[in-house]
Amino acid sequence: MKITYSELKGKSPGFFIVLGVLAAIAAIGLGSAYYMEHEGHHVTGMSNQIVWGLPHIFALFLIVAASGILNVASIGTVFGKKAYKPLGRLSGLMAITMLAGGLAILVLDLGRPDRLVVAMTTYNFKSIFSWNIYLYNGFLLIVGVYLWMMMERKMQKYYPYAGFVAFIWRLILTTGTGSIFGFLVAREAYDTAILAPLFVLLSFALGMAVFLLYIIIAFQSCDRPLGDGLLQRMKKLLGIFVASVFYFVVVYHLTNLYLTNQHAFEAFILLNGGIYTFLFWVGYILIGTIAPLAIFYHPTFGQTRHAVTLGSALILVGGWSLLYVIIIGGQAFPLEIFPGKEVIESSFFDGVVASYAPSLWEFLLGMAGIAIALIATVLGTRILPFMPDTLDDAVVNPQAD
Amino acid sequence: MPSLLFFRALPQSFQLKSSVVMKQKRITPLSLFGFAMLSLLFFNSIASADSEYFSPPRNTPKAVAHASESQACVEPIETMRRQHMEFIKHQRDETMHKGIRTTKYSLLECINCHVTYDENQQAVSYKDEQHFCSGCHQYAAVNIDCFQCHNSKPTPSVVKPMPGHPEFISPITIDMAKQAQQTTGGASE
Amino acid sequence: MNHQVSHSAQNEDVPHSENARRQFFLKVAGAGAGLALAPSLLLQQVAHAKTADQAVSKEVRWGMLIDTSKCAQGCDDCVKACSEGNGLTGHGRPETDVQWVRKVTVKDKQTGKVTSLPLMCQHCEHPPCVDVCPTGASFKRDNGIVLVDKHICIGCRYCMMACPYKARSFVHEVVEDQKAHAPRGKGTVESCTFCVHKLDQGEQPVCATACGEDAMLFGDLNDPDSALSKRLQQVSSTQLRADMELNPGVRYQGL
Repeated sequence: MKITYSELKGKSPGFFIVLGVLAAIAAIGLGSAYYMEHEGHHVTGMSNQIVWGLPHIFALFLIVAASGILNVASIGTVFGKKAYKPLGRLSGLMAITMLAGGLAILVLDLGRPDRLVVAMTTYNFKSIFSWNIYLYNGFLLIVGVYLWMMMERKMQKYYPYAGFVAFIWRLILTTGTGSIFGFLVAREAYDTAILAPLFVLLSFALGMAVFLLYIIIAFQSCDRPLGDGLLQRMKKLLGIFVASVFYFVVVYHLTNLYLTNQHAFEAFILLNGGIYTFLFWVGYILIGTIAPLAIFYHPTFGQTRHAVTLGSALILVGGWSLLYVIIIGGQAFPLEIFPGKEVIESSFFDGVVASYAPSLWEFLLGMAGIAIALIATVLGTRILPFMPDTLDDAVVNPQAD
Repeated sequence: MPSLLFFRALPQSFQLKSSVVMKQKRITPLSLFGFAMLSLLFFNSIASADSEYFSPPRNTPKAVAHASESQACVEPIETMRRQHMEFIKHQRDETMHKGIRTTKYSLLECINCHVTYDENQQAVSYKDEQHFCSGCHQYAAVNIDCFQCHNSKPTPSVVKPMPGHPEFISPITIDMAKQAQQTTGGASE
Repeated sequence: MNHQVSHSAQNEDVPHSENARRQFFLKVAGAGAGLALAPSLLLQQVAHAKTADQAVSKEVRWGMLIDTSKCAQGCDDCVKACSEGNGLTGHGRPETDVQWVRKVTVKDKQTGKVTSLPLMCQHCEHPPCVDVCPTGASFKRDNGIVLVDKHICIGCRYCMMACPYKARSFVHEVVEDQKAHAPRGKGTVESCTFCVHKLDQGEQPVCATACGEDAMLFGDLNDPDSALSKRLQQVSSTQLRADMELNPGVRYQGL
C-alpha cells in the first residue's frame, strides 16, 4: 500500500493548547536569557570555576539528539530498510528543529549574544569550535536539501545521494561535538579521543529515544494509526544503541582506571563525587541503561507500547545525567596545576572541587530550547506534509527488509 | 530558484485537496514573514540592552563638548562625521595587535578632548544624553559598543582645566546647550 | 642551596647591568658624543623596550621569572597592585569575581616543603586558549604575550575550559569606570596582559615593580643579555605543567 503524507489539521483546541504552552515556556526562557545577559552571568550558577553549566547540557542534549534523529531517515535511505522510509521526512524535520533549539540555547548563553555576527564572520580555523559552526550550519543546509529531494517528486531520484551525504555529515558533526571536549588537554576528564565515538553513540541512542517518544505522542494526538510492530523493531535497535553507549562509557572509565594519575579523577566520579557519583550510578547506569534494557527485553511487558514509551523516557534521563557528569563533573574536578603538590591556600579555588548550584534562569533557558525545537516541529508538520497518514503495521510491514 | 521550484511543485507532489493547498500557500509566506519580523524585534532588543538610559532627543543634537577655536579636531569635521568609526577601528586593531599606541586616532583622546560637564562640573558618562558620543548616536539610532568596556569619561589626570584655571577653554555648559537646543528647536518648528 | 644560588645570582646580576649602564654612559659622554643620543640608545640597549609608536617585534619575547624563595606566604602586594593598576573591582563574590593574578600556597606531598607563589597567565608559546578560540579573539602577540581582543570576544568561555592554569576570568557583572588603559566589560573573557599598556611604552608590569621582595624578574627571554635570560642561565627554573609542552613565558625558581 502506498504511503501518503499530510499536514496536521491544526484546528483542535489541543493543538492550540500545546502550541500555547510551548510558546509560554519559550517566552519565559527567552526572558530569563535576557535577564542573564542584562545582569551578567553572576546571576547564574556558573562561575570562573564552572564555566559551562546547565544551558550547555540542554544544548548538547538537543544537538546530540538532533544528529541521532537523522539516523531514522538514514536507515531508510542509506541502509535501504523499507520499514523506516515512511519516517524519513519527520526524521529530517526533527533533526533540523532539535539542532535549532540546541543552538538557540548555546547562542543565548554567550557572554555577548549580540555579537553572533562576529562568530559568523570571524573565524579561527584551528578551533574545533569554529569547525562546529560550519558543521552545524552545513547540517541544517544538507538536511534541508535532503528533505527537499525526498519530498519533491522531480528530485526523488537524487535523494539517496543526499541521504548519504547527510549521513556522513552527521557522523562528522557528532564527532566534532565530542571533540569539543576531547581536544581539551588541560582537564583530566576530557583529554581523550574516545569522547568522540562516545558522543556519536550517545547521539544514536538519544536521537532514537526522542524520535520514538515524539511519534508515539504525536500519532496518538492526531489519531493517526501507529503500528506496534514498527515500534518494537525500532525499540530493539534502540536497545543496541544503549548497550553500545554503555560499552564506550566502560572503556572510557577503564582506560582512566588503568592510568594511575587518573585515579583521583575516577574516584571522584565513581565513588566520592556527591551529585556526580549519584548521577553516574543512579541517573546513567541504573535509570538510563539497566532499567531501559530490562524493560525493552522483558518477555511480556517489553512487547507493549508502554514499555517503548517508558524505556525511551528513561534513556533520555540517563543521557542527560551522563552529559551532566561529563560536562559539569569534568569541570568540578580541580585542575592539576602543581603535580605532586597539594594546594593549601588559594584565593581562586585551586585544588578544591568546584561547587555548582544551577540557577532557575539557566534551567528556564534550557527548557526554552526544547520548547523552541518542539514548536518548530509541530508548526513544521502543520505547514508541510511531514507526517504519514498512517503507520499501521498493515501498511508499513515492519518486517520488511 | 530551487526554493521557488519547491513551493510551486508542492500541490502536484502531494495530491492534496485544493482548499488545503490554497490555505497552506497563504500561511507559509505569511508566517515566514512574521517569524522574520519577530526575530528582528528580538535581536534588536538584545542589541539595545542599554536603551533604557536614553530618551531620544527631538531635534538634531548639537555636540556639547570641549571644542574651541584654538583647538581643531584631528581631521576636518566633515571627515570625522563620516569616518570617525573607521579611524577608531583601525587604531583599535593597530593597538590591540601591534601595540601601536599613538594618540591621533585613539578613542582615549576622543574621550579626553570631547568632555561634557554637568552642573557640578563633573564629566558625564555615555549614559547621559549630553555626552558627546551619545547625543548624536541616540539621534541616529546607532548603538555604540565602545562603552561596554571603555570608560566614557576622561582620564582624571588629563581632565581639561576647570573654570578659574588660566588654561581653561570655556566648554559649553549644559544650560547653554539646552538654551541652544531650545532656540534651534524653536526655529525649525 | 637554591636560596644561595639565587642570592648570589642576583648579587652578581643586578649590579652588573647597573655597571654596564654606567660604563656605557661614561663612554658615550667621554667620547664627546651628543648626550641627546644617549637616552634613546640606552632605552634600546638596556630594556629592549619599544616606544608607543613602534609595532611590537618578534625579536622580543616577554617573560618572567618568579623566585618563590623570596615570595612570602600571606603577602599579596602583586595581587593588590594588579587590581589597582588594571581597575579590577570585585563584588564580594569570590566565585565570579575577576582575578588576573592570585596567590597560591602549595605543599609537596612527599617532602612537605611549603611554597608560596603568584599565579597568572603563563603567556605560553603554544597557548591552548588561542587554539580553541572560535573567533580568534584569543591571540598571541608577536612579542609573546597572550591577550584577549575583547572587540571580537563573544563570551563562549571555551578558552577558560582549555587553559591548564585557570588563568582566565569571565566578566560576570557590569563594569563601570574602568581604567582608561584597561578597558574591560561584562560578557567577555580576560586575563593577565603583562600590563600591555605599560609594556607598549617601555615600562614593566605593575606586579613586578610592586613586589617588595624583588621576587618577580621581568624581561626579554629572547635577549641573551637581559637580566632575565642571564638569571635563567644560572639558576634552575620550573615551568608549570611542563609535561604539556606549552613553553610558558613565566618560570618559577625554587618550586
